[in-house]
Amino acid sequence: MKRLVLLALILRLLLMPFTGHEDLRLINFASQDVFSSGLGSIYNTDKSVYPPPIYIFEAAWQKLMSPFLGEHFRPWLTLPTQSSYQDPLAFRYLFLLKVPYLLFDFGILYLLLKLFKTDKEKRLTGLVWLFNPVVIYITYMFGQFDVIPTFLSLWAIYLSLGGWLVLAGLILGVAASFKLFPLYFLIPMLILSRTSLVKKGIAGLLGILPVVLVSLPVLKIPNYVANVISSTHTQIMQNVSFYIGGDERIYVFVIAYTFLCLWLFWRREKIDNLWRVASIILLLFYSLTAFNPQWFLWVIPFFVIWWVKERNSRPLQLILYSLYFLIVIFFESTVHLGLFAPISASFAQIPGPSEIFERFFFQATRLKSYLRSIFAGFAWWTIFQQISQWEGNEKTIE
Amino acid sequence: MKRLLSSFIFLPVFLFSLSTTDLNQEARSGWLALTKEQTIGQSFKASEDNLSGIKLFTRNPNLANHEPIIFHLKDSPSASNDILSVVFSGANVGWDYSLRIQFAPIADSKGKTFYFFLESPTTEAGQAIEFGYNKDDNYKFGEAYVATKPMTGDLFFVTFYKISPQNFISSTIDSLFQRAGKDQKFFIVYFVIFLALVIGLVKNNP
Repeated sequence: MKRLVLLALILRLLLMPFTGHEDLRLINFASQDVFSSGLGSIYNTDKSVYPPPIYIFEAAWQKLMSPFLGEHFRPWLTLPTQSSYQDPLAFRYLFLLKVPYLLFDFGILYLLLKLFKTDKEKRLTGLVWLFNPVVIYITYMFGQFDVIPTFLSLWAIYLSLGGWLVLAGLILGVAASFKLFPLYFLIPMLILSRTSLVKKGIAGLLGILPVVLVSLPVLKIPNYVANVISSTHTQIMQNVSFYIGGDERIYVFVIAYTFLCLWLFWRREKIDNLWRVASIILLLFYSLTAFNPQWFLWVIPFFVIWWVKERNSRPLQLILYSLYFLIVIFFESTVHLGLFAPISASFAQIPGPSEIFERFFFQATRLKSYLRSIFAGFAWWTIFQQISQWEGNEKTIE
Repeated sequence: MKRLLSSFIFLPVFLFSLSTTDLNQEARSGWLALTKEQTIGQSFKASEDNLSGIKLFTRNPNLANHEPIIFHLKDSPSASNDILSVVFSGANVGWDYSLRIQFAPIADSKGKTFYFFLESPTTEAGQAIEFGYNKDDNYKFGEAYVATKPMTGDLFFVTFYKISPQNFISSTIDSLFQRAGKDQKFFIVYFVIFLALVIGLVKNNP
């Protein structure tokens, strides 16, 4: 395991300074005045699309790293994207801004290892997580912070498996204050836990409280309402819906989610299956939304568990990974070739697969829609597999 | 199916018909409008040979412009003849859009001064196409022009230079080392950490 960790660190170290995406700079730009001017400063720009915690986190990290970031860091954040990558200090900044992700990345590894007993299983877990192309691409090349709520979600699930439901609820709430997706796990967690109603009530409350508390100080800021609460991303699960008359619609994701929760309640399922439920919810979400590349990281810890526990799942997972990367390369080039722009500005200018495809055929978004549909088909098949595999013979995770 | 296959076969060809990029001036603080009364231009110095394209940041509000637009490249604002010109339609310009104009490479462009301008003889004021512009004079080798008169500041413009794959790789590595050399403190620490990890890996080799 030690060798795997060292090798994984080398790989991460190689990518961190030389790859980057504008989002990392945007978040750090919005964070720079949090301690001096308050939370309101985050939403002075309409590019701030997350609740305050990630900005507070980045502001604290900037403060801690200020001796290494130096005075040039603030002007660097205001440079145009490609010019900023050609700055001589860009490598240092990209590296330092990604360093905290290592903590959460290896935190996930630690939790995953605790779920398995044998050395063989642990080694395979390490291999599949540490060299997972999605983890490396999203966290260390793209520089997205999704690894933070993913770690917190897994931690919450781990705690709930051990019977620490109230603490699990709180951690899940903290996770949801970074990105909202962990809230999807809250109701299934409460249903599957075998504990008193009072404890469930407290856990449920603690699961929502952090999200409410972090929103209160910024609730009246127009940019927060427009770009966080009412943003298209926040409401993306509403996109697949049926018109039912009047001005009303029913949302497919909400129907499926409600049905799943009722089914779990009716079956009185064991909490051991929570990781499966989490992966089912996320696969449902991916299959019904135009998900952003970084969102796929949320399901990876559960895929790793599934990979180690059930050999049969591997071909299906490989197909899902392949489809995911096929979808990604048909995004704009800033999320694939353009990530190498810190090495040379020319990488951001090379025509990507979607531009090439459009020269020969039709709009690449149509192809992407086909790919997403095939992905959705495989996702639904995966959900079916997940459900059929836990029928009756679920092994208990210690 | 044949077309699908051919697009993937041509993928490496497109990838290797490479350009190197000079970012010149990427900041924007406002817009300059192109109308039949007002041309928009910029003088600049080519940093490499084989100048082959210029990217501008444009917007076509309400997608209202469908008029012909002519791009001219000359030696200087006072030169009487064009080196080349490219005609396109305003209908090809999006609302908030990078517009890349490509042309046959100019072999010995390195170090030479050029001037490009755009005109649109039939565009009325209400359907003007606007070009990203920065009033701070960041770019030292030229200036923006409105209606053939120089003004303080520069257009958003990026230049492209055709380059062979070998030269692309070597110039990328050169530039990488050059920039890395300007932050030696960071790279010394970076390599020490890297070396420590590699030594740890070798020592843990069973």
